[in-house]
Amino acid sequence: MRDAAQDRHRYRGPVTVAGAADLLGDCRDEQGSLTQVADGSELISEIYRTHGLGLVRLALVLVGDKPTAEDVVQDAFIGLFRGLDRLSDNNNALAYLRVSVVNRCRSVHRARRAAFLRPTHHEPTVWSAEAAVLADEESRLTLQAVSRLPARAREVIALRYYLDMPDAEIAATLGVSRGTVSSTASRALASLTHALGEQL
Amino acid sequence: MSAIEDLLRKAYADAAQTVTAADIAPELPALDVRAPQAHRGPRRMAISLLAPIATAVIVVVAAVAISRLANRPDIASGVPGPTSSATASTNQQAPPRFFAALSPTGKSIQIRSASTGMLLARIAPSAKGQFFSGVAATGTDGRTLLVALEWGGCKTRFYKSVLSPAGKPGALKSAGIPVIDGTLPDSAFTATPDGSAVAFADYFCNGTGSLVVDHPRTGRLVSWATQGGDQLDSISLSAHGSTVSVSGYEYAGLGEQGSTRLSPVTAVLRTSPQAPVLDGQGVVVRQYSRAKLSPDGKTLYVCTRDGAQDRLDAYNVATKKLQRVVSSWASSTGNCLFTLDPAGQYALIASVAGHVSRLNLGVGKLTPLPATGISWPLLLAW
Repeated sequence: MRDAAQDRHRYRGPVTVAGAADLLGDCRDEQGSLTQVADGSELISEIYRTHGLGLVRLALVLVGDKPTAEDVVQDAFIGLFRGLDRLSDNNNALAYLRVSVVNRCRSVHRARRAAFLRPTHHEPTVWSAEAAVLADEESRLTLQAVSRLPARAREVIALRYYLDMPDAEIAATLGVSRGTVSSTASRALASLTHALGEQL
Repeated sequence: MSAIEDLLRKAYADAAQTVTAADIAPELPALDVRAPQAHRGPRRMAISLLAPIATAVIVVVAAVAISRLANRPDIASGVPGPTSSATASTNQQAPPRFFAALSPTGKSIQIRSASTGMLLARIAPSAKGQFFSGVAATGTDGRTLLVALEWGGCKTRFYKSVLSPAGKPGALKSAGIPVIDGTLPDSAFTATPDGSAVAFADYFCNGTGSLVVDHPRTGRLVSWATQGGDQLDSISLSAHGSTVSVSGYEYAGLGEQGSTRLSPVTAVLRTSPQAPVLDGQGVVVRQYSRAKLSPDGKTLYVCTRDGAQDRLDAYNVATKKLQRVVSSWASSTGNCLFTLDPAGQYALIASVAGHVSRLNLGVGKLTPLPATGISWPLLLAW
């Protein structure tokens, strides 16, 4: 006889409340009061309502502007929806979404580099003088300096100092070794100290 | 906790607070319309019924086109077809039969036919966490690929792979170029056709960087330091590496320490004798561009967006004057990415009206290849 708990996470139709709570991972307690049967889209909508803002903020600190950050997060949710049946017991939706958001932000940066001959449609970054969104000049200069780091370093720094992720979790999210996270962060901090030392 | 860590936490918190719950969509608007099998209306039904028929038609058309191409040694511009080895052997100027395209994610290098544009094979990194950051073709037949492989966030190693006559890539072997403690920006890697020189922009993890022209066989190395945060791109070499072209980002610049330039430039620099500083030297065109040097180093081909068109201009490197407009095409999906064959007779363009296309630089004739265009490759090598 097949384990019902295993099947619960393989989307073939409606997902039960218990399955939804498992998939919600970190917000299991918050969603523990769910009483209705949720299908895939309802489940993901619930995750979006709970974690959407946090993920948009994560994307924002990686790509710099809100419209792109929102697009990235929405695409990540659509990706989750399409791959819901592949989400295993050991993963939770939030971890999947974080990886997806980081990867999609990386793609945004790559596309921006490749698109230099097209008109730029993205908004000014929040740390640009043009946007003037960040009132604190020190924070603006700090994020400007971060934006000049190599992509991997930017990701490591954001996950470590925005999400307060431990290095092991950063390594798992980025698909690199823990040592790589440490060395990348160490070099990035040295670079930032040097860069900001001249400005602040 | 160090002061810089405090700064980072505060800066991220400040940035995050610029987005509130009221700023984002309260619900996901796209899920319902993309749900599998959802809202299967008459139009969707019609599409699903027509799809197999359309696929069959495309397959037949593609098969006919490939068949015709394979049997024509001269396709409007002299490029031999896949089976025209006899023609190729008697024509010293025949372009290589294959070209390589670096995928946007860096997770693979595609090997494609230069006659049809069709995908023949892929090279993938051997381990998780690695990705390709550059590819260049060397050898008279263009079958020796040099690739840059990045791993661990801050190391780049160079390998070579020899393609079989059918385009199948051999194993990656060390290219004999020293490991770099840094990363390569996209499309910032190239090599001369004879393999005597390679050029790349590297970005070290301590915030510095450089533009390097390395002659591995003689050990001669020329480099220019760049400012922290500089991003150099679109690097090309003349036939023997005596000149190098490079573009700089608008927010960075090519220069010595002390100032940040705002003017994007594409410049051509001499490597022997070496231009003393990068800043202000050899500026051919004041724009950031996809650019390639002709083998003799006298002409710089620059791709420019002109309204709804992409345009390939030829500049005289000595006078820095526009010589002629080689060709232009609708830029609906293209990103102006192109490369030249070793002889400098043809350009290969990633996507023109949805197709990989070949451009005869002499007469400006564009020839779409049967294969569909490549979406956002980072680099082409031919």
